[in-house]
Amino acid sequence: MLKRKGRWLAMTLAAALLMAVPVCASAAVEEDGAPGRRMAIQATKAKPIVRTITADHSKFKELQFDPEQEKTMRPEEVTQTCLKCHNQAALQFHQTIHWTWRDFDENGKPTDLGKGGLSVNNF
Amino acid sequence: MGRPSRQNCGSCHFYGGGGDAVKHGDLDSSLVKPAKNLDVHMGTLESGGQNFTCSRCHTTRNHHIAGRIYDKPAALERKSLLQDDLGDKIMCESCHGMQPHKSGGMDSKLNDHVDKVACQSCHIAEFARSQPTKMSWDWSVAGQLRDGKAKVKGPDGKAVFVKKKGAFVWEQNVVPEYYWFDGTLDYVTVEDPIDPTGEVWLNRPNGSYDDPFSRIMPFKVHRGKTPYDKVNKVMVIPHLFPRNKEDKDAYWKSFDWQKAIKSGMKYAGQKYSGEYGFVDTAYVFPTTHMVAPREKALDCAQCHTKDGRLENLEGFYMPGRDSVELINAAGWTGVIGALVAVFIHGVMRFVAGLRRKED
Ligand code: HEC
Ligand code: HEC
Ligand code: HEC
Ligand code: HEC
Ligand code: HEC
Repeated sequence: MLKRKGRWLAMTLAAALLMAVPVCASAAVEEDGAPGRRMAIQATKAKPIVRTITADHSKFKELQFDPEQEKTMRPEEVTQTCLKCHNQAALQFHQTIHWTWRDFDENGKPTDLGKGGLSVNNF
Repeated sequence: MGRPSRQNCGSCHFYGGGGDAVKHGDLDSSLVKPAKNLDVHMGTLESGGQNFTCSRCHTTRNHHIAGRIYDKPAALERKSLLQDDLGDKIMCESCHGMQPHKSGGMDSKLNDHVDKVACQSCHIAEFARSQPTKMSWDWSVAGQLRDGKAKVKGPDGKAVFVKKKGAFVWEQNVVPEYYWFDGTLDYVTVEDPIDPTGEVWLNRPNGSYDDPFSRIMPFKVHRGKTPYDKVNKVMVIPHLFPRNKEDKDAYWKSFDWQKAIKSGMKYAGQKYSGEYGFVDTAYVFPTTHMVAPREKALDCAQCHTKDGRLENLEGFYMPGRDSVELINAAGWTGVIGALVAVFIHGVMRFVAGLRRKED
């Protein structure tokens, strides 16, 4: 507490000093590059994210459906064709909250918390 | 075939609560193609934004998507990517580091705040800036008509009354409420006893000034009037959607709370006394999207003043808000002292300058 008050005092002093110091001092605080912006630009430099892909899905026979058949197909049937190649996707997805709608405990087991559990909301 | 777009994630997340902008005040369909002014990160490139997809921050591993989940914080530590290349990118610090502001002048004071004030508190001064979000929802007036109508629209075109759901209040450019937050929330389930004499907080941010991991975070607080069990003093789960044409228990079929609650509680494996009422409730959402351009960040004076934004947070000292007479006096003595010192110093330099010229 005391330390804080002390700091505030020091701050007020500093502010007063800043006000009185000639204009040339404020020129030191220039517009370009706050550290947080420089870091963020660095962290996300690859725009768009560099990602290569070696498969052209439009060429896969499995995904070329007969236009007549397409009209009556259910979305799940399309997913089934994806899962033939992406054979881990369903296993992975079933472990996630987007599937269970429940929170997990430390061992990764679903708990009662969550929309799929016993949580309540007011909307 | 490609990675999910904002539209993909948004087709569920923008419409939570049964419609556009109902649930979150910071996630709605205006983020499909926002200007930088609305969101510096997801804003389009043409408007000067970064055009981030959701997964640019919500990084994924084996279909697990990084982010806050019920009682789990979005990230355990606020590390920058420089410190931990494999960390999730979910925190502001992941990309911006712990000292994002300039180190000179007033800006350096900003860096002193980041351990106690979350980035979002200063950088999202208002949420729901593009379209209004639902701020309250009174279920107790559902099932009736208003002015003989099943649906009444407000001036902004959003429904303010719907027979199925009750009455709503929508607000735009909302100033958030601020609470200490350690990244986790506490939840009330249908099994937890409630105190119906006051407002029941169905979830509540955990955290305090004394906890080194807690910071002040902005929240949307959605208020409501929702059904509860008057005898057992617990919240109830009503059965809303009809399962089929014959399902007379569903509220949206018969508009009978009694049947709907009985059936919903039975389905959830819970006891129900048979007596229901309506209780005032609150539900919080952390506000973290719609980061505004830097010019729109909060001024010092919006917090460091009496009746400022942090008026309701207690248990710690904040200069400007908590005036202690002695400190005020000491402070002003300091200011005047400093000005006098500066003046004397200036005069001395002036005189010294004159002397040099004379030489
Ligand atoms: C014949 C096999 C096959 C089928 C069928 C298939 N995929 Fe793929 N898919 C692949 C392969 C192989 C890759 C990896 C290519 C690489 O990384 O170079 C891939 C990659 C992907 C990616 C990653 C794209 C990126 O930009 O990184 C997605 C997403 C995807 N598939 C979705 C789907 C969906 C959805 C379906 C069903 C509609 C589907 N796939 C059907 C073989 C298949
Ligand atoms: C700039 C980074 C960033 C981007 C881009 C982003 N998010 Fe988030 N999001 C966050 C952070 C950080 C949190 C965790 C906040 C907290 O501590 O609770 C979060 C939390 C969430 C939550 C949980 C909300 C709650 O009530 O706790 C949802 C849902 C979400 N984001 C969805 C999205 C969607 C959908 C998109 C894309 C339209 C998106 N996010 C884009 C950073 C981001
Ligand atoms: C995935 C990396 C990433 C994350 C996470 C992230 N940002 Fe950014 N942010 C950026 C980039 C890149 C820029 C653009 C920097 C520039 O060009 O100056 C930026 C810009 C900003 C700006 C300056 C905008 C302006 O031009 O006025 C602010 C303020 C900001 N971010 C705040 C936040 C906050 C608050 C969070 C957490 C909710 C956050 N950022 C999370 C990458 C990120
Ligand atoms: C006490 C309020 C406050 C807090 C807390 C805060 N900021 Fe800021 N931030 C500001 C203000 C005010 C500015 C504008 C400074 C200026 O224009 O000189 C700013 C500017 C920025 C900028 C642009 C930098 C520049 O000068 O161009 C970034 C990036 C940023 N903040 C990120 C963050 C991140 C990330 C956090 C959390 C680690 C954070 N801020 C916490 C108030 C705050
Ligand atoms: C979002 C609200 C908010 C804004 C905006 C804000 N502050 Fe603070 N400030 C706080 C809180 C909360 C504390 C107490 C933190 C603590 O006890 O560590 C504090 C503490 C301080 C302190 C005393 C403790 C210290 O770290 O030295 C000073 C001085 C201060 N602020 C100056 C400023 C200045 C100058 C600005 C504008 C550039 C500013 N504040 C903007 C919330 C805010």
